[in-house]
Amino acid sequence: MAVAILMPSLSPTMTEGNLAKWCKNVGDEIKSGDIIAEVETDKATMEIEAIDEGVLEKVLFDDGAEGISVNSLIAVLRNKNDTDKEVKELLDEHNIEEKDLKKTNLNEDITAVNNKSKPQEIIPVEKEKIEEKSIEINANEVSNSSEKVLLEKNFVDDSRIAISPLAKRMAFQNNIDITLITGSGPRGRIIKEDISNFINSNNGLNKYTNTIVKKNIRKKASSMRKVIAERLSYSKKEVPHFYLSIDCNVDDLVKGRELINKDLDSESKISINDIIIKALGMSLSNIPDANCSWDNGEINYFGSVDISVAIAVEGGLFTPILKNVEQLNLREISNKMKDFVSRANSGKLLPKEYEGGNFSLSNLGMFGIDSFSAIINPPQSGILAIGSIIKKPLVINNEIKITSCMTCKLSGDHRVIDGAVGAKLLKEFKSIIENPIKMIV
Amino acid sequence: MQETQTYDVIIIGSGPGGYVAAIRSSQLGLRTAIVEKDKLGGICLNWGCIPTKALLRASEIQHLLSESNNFGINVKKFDYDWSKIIARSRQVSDQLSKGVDYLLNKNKVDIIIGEGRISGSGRVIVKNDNKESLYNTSNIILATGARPKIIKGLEHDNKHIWSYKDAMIPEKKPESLLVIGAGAIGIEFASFYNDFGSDVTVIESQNEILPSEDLEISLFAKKCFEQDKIKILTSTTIKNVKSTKFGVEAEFIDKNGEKHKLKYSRAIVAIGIDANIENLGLDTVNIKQDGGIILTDNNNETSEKGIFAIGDLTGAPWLAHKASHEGINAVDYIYNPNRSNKHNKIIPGCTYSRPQIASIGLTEEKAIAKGIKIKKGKFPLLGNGKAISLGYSDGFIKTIFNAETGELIGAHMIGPEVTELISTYCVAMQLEATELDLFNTIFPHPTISESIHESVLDAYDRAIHI
Repeated sequence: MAVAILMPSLSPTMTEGNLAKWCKNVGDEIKSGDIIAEVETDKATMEIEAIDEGVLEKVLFDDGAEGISVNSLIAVLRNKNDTDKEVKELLDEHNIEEKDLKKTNLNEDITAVNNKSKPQEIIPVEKEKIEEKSIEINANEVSNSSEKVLLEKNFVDDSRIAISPLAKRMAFQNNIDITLITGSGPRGRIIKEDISNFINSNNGLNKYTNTIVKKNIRKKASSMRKVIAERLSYSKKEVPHFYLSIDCNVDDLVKGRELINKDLDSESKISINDIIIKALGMSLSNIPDANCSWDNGEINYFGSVDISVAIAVEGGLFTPILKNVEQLNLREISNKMKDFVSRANSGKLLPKEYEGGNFSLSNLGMFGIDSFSAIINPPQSGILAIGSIIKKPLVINNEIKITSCMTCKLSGDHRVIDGAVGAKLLKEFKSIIENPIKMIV
Repeated sequence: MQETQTYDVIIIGSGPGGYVAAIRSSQLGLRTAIVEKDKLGGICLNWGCIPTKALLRASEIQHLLSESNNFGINVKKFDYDWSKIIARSRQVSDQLSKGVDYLLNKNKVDIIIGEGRISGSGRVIVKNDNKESLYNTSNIILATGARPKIIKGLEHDNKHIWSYKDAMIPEKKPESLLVIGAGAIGIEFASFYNDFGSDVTVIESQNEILPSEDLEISLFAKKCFEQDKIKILTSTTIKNVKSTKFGVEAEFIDKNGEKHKLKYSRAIVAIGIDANIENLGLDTVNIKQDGGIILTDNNNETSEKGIFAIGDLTGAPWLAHKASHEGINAVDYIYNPNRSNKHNKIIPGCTYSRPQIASIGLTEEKAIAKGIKIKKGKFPLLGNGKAISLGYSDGFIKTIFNAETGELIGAHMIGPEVTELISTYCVAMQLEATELDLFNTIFPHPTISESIHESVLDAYDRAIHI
């Protein structure tokens, strides 16, 4: 029987997905475990793995098709013995006519019909599965339920552990996590001696202090982590970073912000970060030599200033892009950022909102970091790392003055930005930050 | 000298250590030769474990016949043919020795007849009728066993003062017999000759007979033997034994310090054994020894790389099954030095007297001396249906656990066929079973082995049939 491949639901918040690209062509042999397609979700791009085998008979969307409802039919897998009729029946089931293969959304009705059909199970590769199987434990060995809980908690692993009954009991009595122990018995079976050695090597710590040895936990990295790992590793390996640091006196900026926010309700207040974005946008616009990207032996000078702003979320970070910052006023920047932050936290940013960008801004000031060196997000040419605002003594006109100071560190891609260009950019940035009135222009 | 083949392993001695090692070695594809100066199978098959079991079977039948009317069977008149009993024992040994020959050939082990010795690392010289042959080999396993210990004043004369070997092949049964040494060998001969009607006296210098056994076992055994009219003198020191014209005259001091001088037809000296480490060429290599035994590591390798020692050469307990196990241990290591097969080497011991005695692990006394908090269970065979049916319910089974961990640390048994029952404990200890695993084991009914279960249950006050 022909198998329906449906748009998977890859997260609780996902209602629709984009078909980033097909990894197989119509007519290709598909084996179980093959990656059929990449789907963009609200959070990340994920791969769809085939469960069944067959030939990719039809795809119902082209690469890049957006907004496909969850559980919509996206492709049909044909088994060896399937007749044309069976394929047609499947399509009929999903209210699709041959000529009707669409490049855009299927309508709601189809989704409803889908729910009746037996959907092809799809395992999103990203899905984290930490299976914890507890070792069979004889209930008799456990004298009370709290001990049992402890026992089961400690005796977890994703595979069966060979251990002698005596060793198991000794491990339990001494609160030893047997997953920490390498068995020396036949075929790696954990035997009494292994437990004794473990206890001795820990100086009886477990026995007398009742300390539970915490085990290392291995988890599959989320796709977000993988992307971060991959991109930043690439960046540090391939992009020749150089760093320039500058201290900005932000007395006027702080004062200015107070004035702006004075009569605003809390939801509309402008943040320091908003102002920094504006200042960076203006600087890049004024120093176009810095707003560029290395591209395979060519340099791509960007026409607009699109700034990726790093937003930390649980388990990673998003860098939604404020496009054409040079044309936005502070209010617009602020509103956009509030929207981004809120949607980043609820996982509702669209990939197109965080993919691309010309330059990045990362602010760890709110975490009390004085200054730091950030890694460039390729193919961008630079990232500005903002530290917190702290009071520092500053010599102004031969006088020591206590000022609010903010350290900004630029990481630049030396392939396209030289030290002098970077210095020019920072100097421009400092001049705007220290004289925020310039932002009015 | 003739130089011949090169081997991966040459084993000197074909006893239960050597021949088992040879077969294993060949099984693993190693080119293997075994050197034997006498009969294949060593002492165990030819002059030890096996022929004595054949003799003890005869005495057991003799005993059963003597009480056959208890079972409603009237045997009008029965008699025994001593020479046939001895001949059968020899025949059993021959059969098994031939069996070893067959097995070695089947496994393509080269059998080299002669006296083997090391001649430097990787070289073995075999001497046969003044002809010496040199063999090169990557590994040598020494498995030359042991011989009866000889003590001044107690030298065997092989006529009236016997070693165990002489005691296996006497022309006729002695009227009276003095057994010097109440270890397994002495007790087996005492039991055998007593059942055939010899007047048997056992002298033991230590406080109890079978001194390595659990105290309760030793005391129970003593009671059984004394009921069967064996005289047992413990804490008694033998001064000397002299061969006289018709028998022996023994001088000893009993536990009260009184001197005795008594006459017996024959005496058996069974006071231990000495390892055969002489004439092995140990001085041609660097092999560390200590007090007459060869020192080896966990893999039975000596201080000289590539030279291994197994069995009696490496010290007590002097048991065939220990030798076999060490033989395999050594060969497996030679084959794969990186193997991971750490396991408990707990060696059971058996005495095939009537009653039989079998044990493994620690005695109660030793466990307590080690500071282990114990739980012990004991089940008398009087409570076992199968034993009562057999008409043989003298005996008990005792099980000792570590009270804290439930580790099975010792088992001791006396009674009918307990030498067959002990294996249950061997497996349980090897697998590190706790009392729960034994509780959960279903023992077949009716068998004497149910007493194992009961004994285990009793340790936790759960026995059903007491």
